[in-house]
Amino acid sequence: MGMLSAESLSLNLKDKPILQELDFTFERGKLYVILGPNGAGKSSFLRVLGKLLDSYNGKVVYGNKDLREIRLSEYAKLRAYLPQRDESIPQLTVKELILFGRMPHLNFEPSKRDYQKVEELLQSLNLKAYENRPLRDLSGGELQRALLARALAQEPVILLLDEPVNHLDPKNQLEILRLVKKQTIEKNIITIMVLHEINLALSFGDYFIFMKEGRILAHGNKEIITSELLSKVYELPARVYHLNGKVLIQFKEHP
Amino acid sequence: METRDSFLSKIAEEKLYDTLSLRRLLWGLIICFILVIVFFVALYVGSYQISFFEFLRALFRGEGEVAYIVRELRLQRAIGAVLTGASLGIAGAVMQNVLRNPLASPFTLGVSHGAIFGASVGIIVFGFGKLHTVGPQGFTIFKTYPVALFAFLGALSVAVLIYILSRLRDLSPQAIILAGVTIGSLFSSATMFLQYFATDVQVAATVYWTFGDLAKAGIKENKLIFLSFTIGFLFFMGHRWKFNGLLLGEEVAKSLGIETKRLRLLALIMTSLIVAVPTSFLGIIGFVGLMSPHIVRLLVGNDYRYVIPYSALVGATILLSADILAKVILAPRTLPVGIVTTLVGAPLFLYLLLKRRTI
Repeated sequence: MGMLSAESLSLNLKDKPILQELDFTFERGKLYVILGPNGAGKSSFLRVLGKLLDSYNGKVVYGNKDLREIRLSEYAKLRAYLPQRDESIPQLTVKELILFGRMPHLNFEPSKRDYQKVEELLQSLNLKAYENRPLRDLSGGELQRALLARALAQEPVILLLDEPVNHLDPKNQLEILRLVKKQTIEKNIITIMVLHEINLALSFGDYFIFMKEGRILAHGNKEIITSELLSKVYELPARVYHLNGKVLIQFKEHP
Repeated sequence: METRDSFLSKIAEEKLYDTLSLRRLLWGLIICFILVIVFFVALYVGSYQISFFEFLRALFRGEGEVAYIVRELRLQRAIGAVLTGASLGIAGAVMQNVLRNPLASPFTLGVSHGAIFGASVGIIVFGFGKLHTVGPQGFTIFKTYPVALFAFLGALSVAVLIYILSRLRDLSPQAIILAGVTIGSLFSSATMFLQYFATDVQVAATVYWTFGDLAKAGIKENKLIFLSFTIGFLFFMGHRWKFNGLLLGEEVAKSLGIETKRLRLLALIMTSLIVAVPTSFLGIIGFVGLMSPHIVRLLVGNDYRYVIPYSALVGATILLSADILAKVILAPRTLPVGIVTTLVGAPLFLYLLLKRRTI
């Protein structure tokens, strides 16, 4: 029930192949991490799954419906998307931002429940103290939490995050990912996240998809991650350490 | 003490404490209040001087020359100012939103100039509005509807051109404005070109248009401006949440279920309508559309549920005040109101250009 799958998905942009014959099924309650070098097609894959690009070939299916048959406004009630680069106008306040995230569920004006939801998110993401502050006055970590709150305000079943912890310090990185993980389990949703920090991915992800040149090279849980795979994906020699059941990756310069 | 605390917590629960909402409500009332005051001042002030007592009597008793001036001429002029200012204010607010450009407005993007060109084509080429002079400076347009339609087509062609330009990659907001100003001059030149084929009276009329003037607002014109404003207002308010969504950027707006391309295009078509109708009757009135939304955002923030209606109120207030100034500065002569709005608006435009703030 409620699975999201890509079926022989291909995408060309300006005659350049971006995605080639992708097949994959995402299940609820799991945190998926898409890994791979720059230009591998990770963000494009995420956009296609989010119905934000529609010039693709093949199919994306949610439940038993083709994504092309679901209206954008209907899909907005199911999935939330956090882009790599935020383009919200910086004068918006945190509260406005989160309320605007409720938009897909609004009929005319926000109901009591909508305001409650905003309030809940302000509390649970520790944003209450800055609720009336404009985005431009927030620190990187605060801003990212606010943006995540906006996405969660949609009450998504599918949560798509494109590098949500870029430019954050280690503490904020961990905090954001912990929140994402918690949401995924508590709300039993499909979370798909593009991430560059492989060690962070390892400590939070449930399932890993390695992409390169528009294809999925490998996917699976932690066990599939070997130094051979990593050097193939990133074209860098890598070492995999096992420490008390944890996996740690170290890349090296060329010898 | 305890009852007070529980009282406060009750207020907190009811969300009445929400300072932003309170502030918005308060500013709404203040702006309305100012608008009403300015409206009565506009009825009182004019080239024909009347005493305050005469004014009061004219307001309540509809007889005699003074009553005619106050209750017919000045009233229509003031209503024209309110409707036109409101139309321009909303148009500016929406254009700044959909083009994501703080410098956008009907005037700076040349939409007003397109409207004038369209109207000129209707009047001069198709002879829809044989102009005739009434008094030293007034003239009226016969067949207002076809002229308004032509103005709409002129404004629309500029808006579509701007839309296409804005969809091209890597054009900065400043570059779009530069293009808009160029398009505006192009259409002004085209209007002047048309004047070669016009009679002296028509030329005088079209030249006079360059500076928008409210003397031309009559009941017939006001009815039509009211109609276009109402259509636009209902459309924009109906889509207010989508305009809020656009504030979060293209991709996020789409992820919130907004068909962004269609919305932008539709919104620009509707702004063309609400700009073209008043412009075709009253001429180009610059900077009201630019200023109003900026003032509103300073007062109540960026939520378009408020920015749209408040920009209309502020636009109406600005244009009405400018018209009072126009009547007072060189009294008993009356300046075209477009000169006054430009005098105030141009410095603001330069300030925004230098500050490079986003909307």
